[in-house]
Amino acid sequence: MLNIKEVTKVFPNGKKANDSISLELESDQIVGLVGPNGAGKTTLIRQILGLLKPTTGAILIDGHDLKRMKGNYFGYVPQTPLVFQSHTIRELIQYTLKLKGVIDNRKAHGILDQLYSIFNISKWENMYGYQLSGGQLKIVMLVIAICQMPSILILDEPSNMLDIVTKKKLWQFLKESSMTIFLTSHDINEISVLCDYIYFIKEGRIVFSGNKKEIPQVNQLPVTLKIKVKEKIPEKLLSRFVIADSRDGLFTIFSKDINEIMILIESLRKYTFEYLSLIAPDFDNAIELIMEEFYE
Amino acid sequence: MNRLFQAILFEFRAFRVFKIQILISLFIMPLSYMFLILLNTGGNRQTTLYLLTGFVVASLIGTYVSLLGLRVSNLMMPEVLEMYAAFPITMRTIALSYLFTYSLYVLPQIIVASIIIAIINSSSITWGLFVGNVILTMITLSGLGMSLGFFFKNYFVAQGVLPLLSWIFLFITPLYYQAKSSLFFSINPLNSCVKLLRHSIGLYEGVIIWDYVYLIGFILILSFFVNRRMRSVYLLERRF
Repeated sequence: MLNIKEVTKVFPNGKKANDSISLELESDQIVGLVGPNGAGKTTLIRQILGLLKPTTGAILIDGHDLKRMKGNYFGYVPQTPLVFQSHTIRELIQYTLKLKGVIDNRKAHGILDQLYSIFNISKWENMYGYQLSGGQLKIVMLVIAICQMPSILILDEPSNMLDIVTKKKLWQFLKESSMTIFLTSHDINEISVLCDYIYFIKEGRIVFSGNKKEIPQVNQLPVTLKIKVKEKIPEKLLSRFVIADSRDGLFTIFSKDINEIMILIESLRKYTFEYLSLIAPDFDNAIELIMEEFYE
Repeated sequence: MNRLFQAILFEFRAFRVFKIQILISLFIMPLSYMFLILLNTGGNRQTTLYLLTGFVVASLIGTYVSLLGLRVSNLMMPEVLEMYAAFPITMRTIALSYLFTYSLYVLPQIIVASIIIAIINSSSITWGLFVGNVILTMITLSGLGMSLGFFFKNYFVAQGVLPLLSWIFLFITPLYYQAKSSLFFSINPLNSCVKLLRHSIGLYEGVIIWDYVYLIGFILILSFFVNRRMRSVYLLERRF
């Protein structure tokens, strides 16, 4: 559906924000773009939206170059919610529906009713933009984007500013909506819950991409061993491991080689175990570790 | 068309929170200024008409160059663009809605001044010509305001430069003072605007055809520039 081909963005000051980025978004898929601050995520989004011109490369929708296409394909929620301060939320939503030409559309109203009920919007729909909190403004932007029933929903850190309860409601709604969504996020849980496929971006380049199954295999993620013995463990036994923590004698050890971990456990058999747990890498670990690595 | 209408209504609604500011800037200040003009003409009919036509053009300069120009310039700010990107609306519709909204915004001042002109000068006014010339002046100045707004993409720079430019336009155009015809005044399109207005109420007897030609040429150049800017969807290229 959305096909980004070798997109590079070089700003007039010479700064390269995106470097040969290629990615794909299929219909009904939720794709995440993850990366540290300043990695080029928002620049890529702005290029998709047509607010920035790619220096090289092309952005295609259903095989057609976006530059030559007319119409609104995207619903968009920016990272920082900015809503017209002098209109009520109800007016903003009505305005959106009128502009989109779906003011009498039953499906749009159905979605709207659902969103009103999920986020309790009725309570504050007659308030002005300047009277709302950051989280409420974010919800307004989400509602405005979603009620347009866009071909592709682009969300730049959709759940930042939201409380955990609202976040979970939003995730559930998005997951059940079967919309085509492209999102950026720093929230591991959000990526884990929502994304079918993930792209990692660092310094403007896609450094890794994969689905939930591919991520642990590709990265050979470490297993985590948590161990506490009554006696002192000789240092030489642990010297070849990455020790994340050793407070109160409880060692948290990472290793990509499960055999080495098993040998360590075997060599500690003569000690008195007070605690032992072996945690296999899962999707959350994978994301977290990859993010830690890339965010350095 | 429906989108443009909705966008204009939306812009008008936005003025609600600035009710007092609008009352002051739309009625109290300009009309009291016009009252002062009328007080200082000493009852001279010719002078009153001369200054009132100047007032019409001055009001349009203030509205289009300062207010509309600033609004268009503000539209170029990345965060404002991002905000609009969230709505199913194009740059062209937004910019046109600004233009029509500010045209309606300035209308009361123009209507009041025109009524006074009509009362003073009912015998020698050519209404069709007068209204046509007011519209031509509005098109010229709105084009100028929008061009300047699109030109100064940096809103913070525009905030300083556009009011200054308004003042320069007021200064170099014989709106409130008499000036002999010279090349300096001839190249100023706003001079042509005020000359045409004065012609339509019988204050100017000279040849005006070249003023029409000049203004139409000027409008075409501005339209070309504005159209190019509006058609371009890439608006964040310049760093802020």
